[in-house]
Amino acid sequence: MKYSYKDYKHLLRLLAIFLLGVGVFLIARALFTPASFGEFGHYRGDSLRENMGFAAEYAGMAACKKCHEAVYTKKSKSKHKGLSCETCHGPALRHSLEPKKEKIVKPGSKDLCHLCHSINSVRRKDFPQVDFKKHNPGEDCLACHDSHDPL
Amino acid sequence: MKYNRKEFLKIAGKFVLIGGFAKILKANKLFAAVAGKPVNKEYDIKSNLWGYGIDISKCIGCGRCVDACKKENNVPKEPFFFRTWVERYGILENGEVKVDSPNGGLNGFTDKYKDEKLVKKYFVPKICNHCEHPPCVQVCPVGATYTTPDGVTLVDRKYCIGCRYCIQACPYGARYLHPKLHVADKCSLCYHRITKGLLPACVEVCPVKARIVGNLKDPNSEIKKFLNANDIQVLKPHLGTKPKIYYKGMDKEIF
Repeated sequence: MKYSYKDYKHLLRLLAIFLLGVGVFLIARALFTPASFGEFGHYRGDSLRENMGFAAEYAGMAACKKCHEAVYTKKSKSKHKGLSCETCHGPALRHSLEPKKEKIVKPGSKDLCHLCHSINSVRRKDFPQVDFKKHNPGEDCLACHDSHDPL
Repeated sequence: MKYNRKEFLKIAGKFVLIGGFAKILKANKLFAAVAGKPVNKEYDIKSNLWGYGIDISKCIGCGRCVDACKKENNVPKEPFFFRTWVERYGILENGEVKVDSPNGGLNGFTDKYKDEKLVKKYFVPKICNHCEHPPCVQVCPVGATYTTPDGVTLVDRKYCIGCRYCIQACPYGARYLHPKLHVADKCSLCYHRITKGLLPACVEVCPVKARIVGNLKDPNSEIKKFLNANDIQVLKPHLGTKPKIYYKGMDKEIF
């Protein structure tokens, strides 16, 4: 039996609709997918760059050393040599960029010293701890101790 | 009418196909052009794989890391939003395990256990574990969280719809919903810092060097030395998430 055009005409129509559907899908996908999608993986590559671009607050010790070399040298020979400047002084990136405009607050001893050095039964024994209730209570620690060169 | 239905469909179909293929080709060319290129000139994303070490035996529970993290990453000050926090463990003689983390350790810790007899005690800093197989990435319905080629799990703030699914999925409780941005937020290992050669804020301020970060692909990096020199464990290894936060001095009570 021989098939004529009339016999498969309806299938061609179906094929055309199917191809149209595929075409619409491909175009829609190309339009709605962000350009950077798939650059590094199954996500927006630009998102990675956005995460890289967030503003920082902490400058790092190298930035402090540039201007405050004397106190840096003093501290790096002391028991506090492991401490970063910003551990006590707080975030200083803005100050390092505009030293005159952006001032950092001088930390008070009452807020900081006890965080590390108060007696705590959970704290490891080899770390220097002081009973702040017995050791000159109410006094400013900095009256006797230099935080850049303690003891 | 100029065209009958059949002719119209034929022509329209051709246009659609040609247009579609052209767009795909263009996208592929774009893909080929950018793939393998570094994101910025100094930072080579392919030669880095970030790992992070925490030395429990060193931590003194001062909470400076929690404070620095909140200041660096604009984490809300309320006591239930943390990218990093410090837990206090106290194990009593009868085997009872007491765990707490008042305000995440931000204000330090009071001497709560001074009258108790503790057989074991330690401070345990916690952050996102930047898993090799992160459950949070798997469950995100919109692909808004992902692992970068250099091994950091990040959130796409523009794509995140704030459905909180990832917060539920994280076995380490490392995520929270940002109350102002209405997107999931978590430790990014300070991605904006480590890609510029700076240390993460928590590592920068830690006074006892209990936190270490570095490139796992570099055999001479701080983290590699830390891993080679010490006995290392990860949190909840049975889950198969393969964390890249490595703990030294981890006891079986820590979860």
